[in-house]
Amino acid sequence: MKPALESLLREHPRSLWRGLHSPGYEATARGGDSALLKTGQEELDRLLGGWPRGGITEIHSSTPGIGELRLLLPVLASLSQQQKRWILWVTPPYLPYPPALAAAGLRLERMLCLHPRQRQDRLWALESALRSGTCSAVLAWPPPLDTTAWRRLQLAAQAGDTAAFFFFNEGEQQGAGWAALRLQLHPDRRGVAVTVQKRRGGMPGRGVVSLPEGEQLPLAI
Amino acid sequence: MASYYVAVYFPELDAGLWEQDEQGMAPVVLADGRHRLQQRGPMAIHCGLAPGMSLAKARALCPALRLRPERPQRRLEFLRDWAHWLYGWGPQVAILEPWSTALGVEVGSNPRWRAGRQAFLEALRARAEGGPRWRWGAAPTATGAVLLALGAADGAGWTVSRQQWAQVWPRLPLSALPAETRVQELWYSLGLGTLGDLAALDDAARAQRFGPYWGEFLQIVAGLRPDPRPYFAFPEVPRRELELVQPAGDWPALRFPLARLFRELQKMLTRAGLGARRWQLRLQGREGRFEDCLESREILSDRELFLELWQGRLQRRPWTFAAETIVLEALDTCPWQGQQRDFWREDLAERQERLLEQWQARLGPEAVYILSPWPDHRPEHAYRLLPARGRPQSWEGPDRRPLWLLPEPRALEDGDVRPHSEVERIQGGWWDGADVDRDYFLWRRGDGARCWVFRDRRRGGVFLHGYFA
Repeated sequence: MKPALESLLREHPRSLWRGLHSPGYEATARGGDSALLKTGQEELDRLLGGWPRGGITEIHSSTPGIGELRLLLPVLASLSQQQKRWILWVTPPYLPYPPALAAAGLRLERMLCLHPRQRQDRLWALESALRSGTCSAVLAWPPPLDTTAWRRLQLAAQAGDTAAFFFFNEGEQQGAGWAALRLQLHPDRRGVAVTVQKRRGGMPGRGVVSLPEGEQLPLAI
Repeated sequence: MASYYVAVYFPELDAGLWEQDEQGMAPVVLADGRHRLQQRGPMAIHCGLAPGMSLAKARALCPALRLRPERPQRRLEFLRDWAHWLYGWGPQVAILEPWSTALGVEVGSNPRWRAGRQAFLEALRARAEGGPRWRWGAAPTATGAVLLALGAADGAGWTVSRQQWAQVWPRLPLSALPAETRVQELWYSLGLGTLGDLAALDDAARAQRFGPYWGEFLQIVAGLRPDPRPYFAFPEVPRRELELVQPAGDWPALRFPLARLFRELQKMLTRAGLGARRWQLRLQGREGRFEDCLESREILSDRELFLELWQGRLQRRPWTFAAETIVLEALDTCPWQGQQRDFWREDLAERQERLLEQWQARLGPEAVYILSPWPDHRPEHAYRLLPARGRPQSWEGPDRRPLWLLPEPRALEDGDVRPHSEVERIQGGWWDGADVDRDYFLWRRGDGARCWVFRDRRRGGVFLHGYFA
């Protein structure tokens, strides 16, 4: 490879990457500051490499209650213990149940919930949260997004170095988005089947992540 | 440190204010009971009208002339505005009675004045531009300063240093003194023309002829006797009001005047060493009246944040008429000298606080909350939603609780619901009237969802209460 290209890749690890290496791959390999957060689950780490930091992950599921939150619990617990930034929930469809979250190792004083009613307010609150750099992670159930809104939110997540997780019901948000990662979840007898539909710097794939049947929730990383 | 005073004098102020308020439509004069001109606005002076001239003669010279009454309240409002501005230059500002339209500020302790008076004079000129006539004087005594201002031309002034004052004040004319005409005439008849002439008289003879007041007065002018004055009191509720040229029916039209009011009020507060946490906005129009209050946790001094918070608040609770007057009041003031900030790094807590304020202003305080577990064995009582700045309890509840809890248990068809885990019995609660008797278990629904379900042992039926998401 030409030295100029090598130098560009080295200088901009998050915005320029090789097709088969996700952004920050080299940094991760060197053990330095990574653009990926460890998922805390081996199968997921193998499948994804990690959750994108400073980017949006789309999570589509056929129905609520198939393990969409348990996939994230280890990383959320870890972020809440390591950083003073908030973990923000924007318009969750049900109540995130505090005793269960506390039992999973999340520090609830770092968690905050937002419930804007209007569509415009939801987008405004989401963008301000992502851009401000005050949140380590944002879990959001956004309204359907057009390309402009997607792009704004993606840039905001990048500016705020925030791991954003957007949840959609199956078929709710169609078309290409600006997400760094798009997952489709289906129930599986052993846990949850994860289909990677899009992954920045990686190939699509499929795997099954085993989740306990609600007996014991995964603990922090 | 020795005192030094600047006096700003506004001659014929009422007439000047009338002309300013009427946007220079016509010359304005004020007359006394004998219909003789007492005060003239700048336009009336330009028409050649002289003080003491009869009203009839003045009208002959200037047919468009308008006769207006005195407005003590307007005058006081104008002087109060100026006093707040002058507080930016010194710790003491007073009306220099008996000259009711002269303000004095003590500038001796101001390092900017000591470094050179140019900055002050430029600021003074900028402040006075477009307003009524004004003059200034600077001297080691407040009364001396106003006497110098009286003798200056419009927009100009005199400065006398502390060293020169002893030579200068005796040369000031007696005509500048606030004496009755009878006394002035007596002075002239005796050949007295300056303050020095009056001071040269024997104390007892002067007191006998003109009264004891003038001996004390001369000592005050010379700086040999203290000159205590009631300082301009800061208003209990700092307030600014603005009549809009163009009525404001929406936020873009309101933003600019509101920013101006905040800036003025903020300056006023800064000069008084105060900060405010609550701001009341009143909008008045022909078709309605609107009032709202903005509250912030910290002292609000950032204009952009102030506007963002009001924008959010007014979007949530808009007004529905064309506002013609805006009134902004700073409530809940407290001593505040500014905030020390890190030049290189903005504090995370500060950014979070700012964002919280914005969210609460736009979305409402109830839309932002934190979650806390609550020591109770009944699932729907085992949590609290706390305000955004609350502290959650630390309570280790039982295992096997779902991550999603439904707001209300949802009834299910009993037919296909079968337990896929051990059953957990939860009962009790008679003490607060929410007694329960339930068997909870995990049920894998047909679509794969892991549901938290209970069978109500008392009333019967199966209910969905959460998801192991």
